[in-house]
Amino acid sequence: MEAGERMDRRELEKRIAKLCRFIGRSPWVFHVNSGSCNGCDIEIIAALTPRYDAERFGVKLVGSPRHADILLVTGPVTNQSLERVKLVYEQTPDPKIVIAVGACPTGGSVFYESPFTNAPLDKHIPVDVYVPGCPPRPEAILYGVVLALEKLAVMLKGRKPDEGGIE
Amino acid sequence: MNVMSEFVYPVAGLIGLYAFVSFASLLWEGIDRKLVARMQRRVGPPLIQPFYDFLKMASKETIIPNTANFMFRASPVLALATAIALLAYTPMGFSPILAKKGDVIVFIYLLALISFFKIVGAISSGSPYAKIGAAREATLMVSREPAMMLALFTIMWRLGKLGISKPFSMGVFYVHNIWQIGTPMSMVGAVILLYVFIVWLASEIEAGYFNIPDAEEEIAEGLLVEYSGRYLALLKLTKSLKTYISASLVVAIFFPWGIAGYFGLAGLSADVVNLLFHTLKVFILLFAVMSVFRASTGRLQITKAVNFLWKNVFVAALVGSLLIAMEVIA
Repeated sequence: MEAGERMDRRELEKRIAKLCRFIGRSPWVFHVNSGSCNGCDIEIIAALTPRYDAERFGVKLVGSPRHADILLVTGPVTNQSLERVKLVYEQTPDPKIVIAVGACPTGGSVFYESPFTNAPLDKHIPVDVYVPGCPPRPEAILYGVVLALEKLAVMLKGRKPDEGGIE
Repeated sequence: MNVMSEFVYPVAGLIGLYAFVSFASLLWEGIDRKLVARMQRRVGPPLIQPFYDFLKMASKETIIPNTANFMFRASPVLALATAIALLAYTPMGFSPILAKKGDVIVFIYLLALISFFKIVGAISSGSPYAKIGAAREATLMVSREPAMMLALFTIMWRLGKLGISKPFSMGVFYVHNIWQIGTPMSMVGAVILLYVFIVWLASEIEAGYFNIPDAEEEIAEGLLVEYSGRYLALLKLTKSLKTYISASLVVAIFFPWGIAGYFGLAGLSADVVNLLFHTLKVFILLFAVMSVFRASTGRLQITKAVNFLWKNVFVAALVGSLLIAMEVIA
């Protein structure tokens, strides 16, 4: 599975199922909106709705960063939200993964060099996975989750599971 | 011999019950999540997902907020300890380990103490969300308990009139049961009290209408908002245990029949068979009161919930209690 390779949604889901089983835990997601235009948020919600049913992997959207394993950050990190994003990062217990979703936290997008935004995100907090796109497709977000879970698996068990997914 | 029968056997039984009930209540949580997912036409998580969640939370970093004081760390441990102590007084298919005269008061007291410790821990965290959750929990607690206590004391008192050695004990339900009285008035009263207990159970386990203190989408899990890591795991386990214990009370009052007698078993094996059968009954009751209720209703505003509990449920408890008590008094 190469990074540039396009993968079917079904294959991505199988891969996520395998990774979740490998690390033996339930990734709980906290969604941080740092001044996003809602485009990426809608795509994230699309990936979490009953149609895709993220709960079958044990994924849960939690209301407090204290309970989270994965932070999904959207938006160009506006001046008002900068301190909050840092605070939320510090409030999340280790081991944690940060996924920057969308073009804004990745490189600033149309807000590049704006005096009111602070993109890219990794100037402020360590980012593990970038998902570019304006907005990214749900499949791209799922692929970002695959990369994040592989990183978490290396963090916890020292290695990735074998390639491919499970039936 | 005296030490064995008065100290070693009860402690061993309590540890065994604790292990079994932890397993059964976490398993029920998995079954519940699966059933609700199927009702919403989803696939749902695997049945052992709560065990994964528990192990994950226990292995994560535990963060203590700067604003928290000593009780923030003490209260999850105290809540779990209270839940374990409560197991010694819970009727689970057989007379409880420490069944003594009047232990129904200890039961109610310990059940309220779990909520009390959760409230104290939440207030000590310093988070405004936790304080809203604590205020809601306290409001709901004082609204739901009087109806349940009135109904429970009436049933205990009426069963005591049938002649038993330990009145007001949790073991009474396995000597006489409420349907045994048999007069039409007591039957109607018992059905009304069943309604009271089912609403009480829903509000005790905070399902459906009564998911007010832990409102996840609204106040970020309320009481639990600042807890992480090990303490969160302890509080989640306590909640599961409390769900099982509360449902056990309702099952013991209204559906106490065991099956060990049909197999001609006695002693420990009879208790084990009755415990398994009791667990099955608890799961069936929780399916109706928790899963279906949770999947089909939203949460009420706290004022409406209080109104409902006082104006509807408490009045029902009063009527049911009068119907049961009347023939003895008159």
